[in-house]
Amino acid sequence: MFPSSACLVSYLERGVTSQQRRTRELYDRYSGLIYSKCLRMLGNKEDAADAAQETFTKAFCAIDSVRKHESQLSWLYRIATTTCLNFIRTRRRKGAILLEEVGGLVSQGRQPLDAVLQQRVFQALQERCDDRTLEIFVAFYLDGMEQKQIAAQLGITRRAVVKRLARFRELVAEIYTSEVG
Amino acid sequence: MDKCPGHFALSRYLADELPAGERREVSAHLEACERCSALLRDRAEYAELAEERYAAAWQQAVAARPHEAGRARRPRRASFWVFRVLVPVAAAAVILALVVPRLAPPPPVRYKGSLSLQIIAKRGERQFVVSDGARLCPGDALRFSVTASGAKSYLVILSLDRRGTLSTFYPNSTTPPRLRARSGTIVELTGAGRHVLPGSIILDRSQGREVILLLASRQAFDPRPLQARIRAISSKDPRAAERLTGEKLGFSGAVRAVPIVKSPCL
Repeated sequence: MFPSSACLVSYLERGVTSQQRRTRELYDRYSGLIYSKCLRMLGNKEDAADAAQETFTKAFCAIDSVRKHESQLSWLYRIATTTCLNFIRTRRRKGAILLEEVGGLVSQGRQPLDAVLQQRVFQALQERCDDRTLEIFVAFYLDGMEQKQIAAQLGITRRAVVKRLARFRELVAEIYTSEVG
Repeated sequence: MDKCPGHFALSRYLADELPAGERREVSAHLEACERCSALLRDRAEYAELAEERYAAAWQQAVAARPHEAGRARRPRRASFWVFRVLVPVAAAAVILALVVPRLAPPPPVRYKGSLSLQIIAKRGERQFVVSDGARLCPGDALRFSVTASGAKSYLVILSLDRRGTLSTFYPNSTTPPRLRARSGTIVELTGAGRHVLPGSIILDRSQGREVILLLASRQAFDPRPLQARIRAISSKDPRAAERLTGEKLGFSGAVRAVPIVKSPCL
């Protein structure tokens, strides 16, 4: 994805210096970590490179929206999460590590899921889960963020994060029961 | 810190974005916890590897087929024809300008202790990596990037000109206290990962061969006796500094010499 036309026009009008410098700094510092995260989410080097590229392109356009005391890593992680979830939907990728995590959640004390079932459970989750809950799931289980960090980043209360995670686990259990019996 | 830090905290530590207090706590924890140190090492190595792969993928995609990449990524609902042409072309130009100079450099030079050093020169708008024997001009700005894998690394960066004058590039008067060891005479890097030293060194008007020297160690050291030895060695043979080793200096850490040639630019 290239920058939107509005972003480009604004970029061309404002000149490169400040935005270019800030994007370069971001790239220098975080590109490895973002690529690693995309690779973990997508399980495919080519897709991960595309997703990381798209993440930095979006970051480039939205760089002014980073809050002063916000962790730049969590800001970039959030963009990368949305991008990777989009890839999983639009490119019909399996989302390797997501499947494993969901599989791990599902199979606690139950029969482990095979790859096909994991895929079906994840598909059902995507259909029944809203984007924000999926985002919270990724931040908590994959990125290892704490509930209070997720809450601060999304501008919601910690209690709301806890509720969404609990709802997510319930949903996984429901889907497991309907798929596996 | 009794409890192991979470994965996100370790990633932030690696990206050098933890607040000072938290960073100190994680550093102290890493020294005591083998499990976390191993995890951090893996992450650092993986992040570095990932960066190389990512860079290669970009370089290939952008340099080889910028117009095709533009077509593939064009927004589906361009509202009028101008954006069908303007957006991909301008975006490709933007990405080329932003990324290609950053991605093209050769791999950094590795040396003992799994640290690596990269020197990046900026001349006007152009940036390039300084390789051994590179020709540089007065006014070129040099930036130093060190990739460390240990919890602590100590270093000093020096410059020796053809007249035998030894200057210290790092630490210098602008080096922030957080990067200075207690003695103040060496740089202290905390944590694995890439550290770009702040500020840049502007080359002066002197001409001829010069050597940039990096002395690094996992333990804090006193650079003054080493500097005296470097002066003594180079007074006998001006180009001996280009072949300096830790053994010749009686130094247990790593030594890296990057010869450069300074000449006026047309």
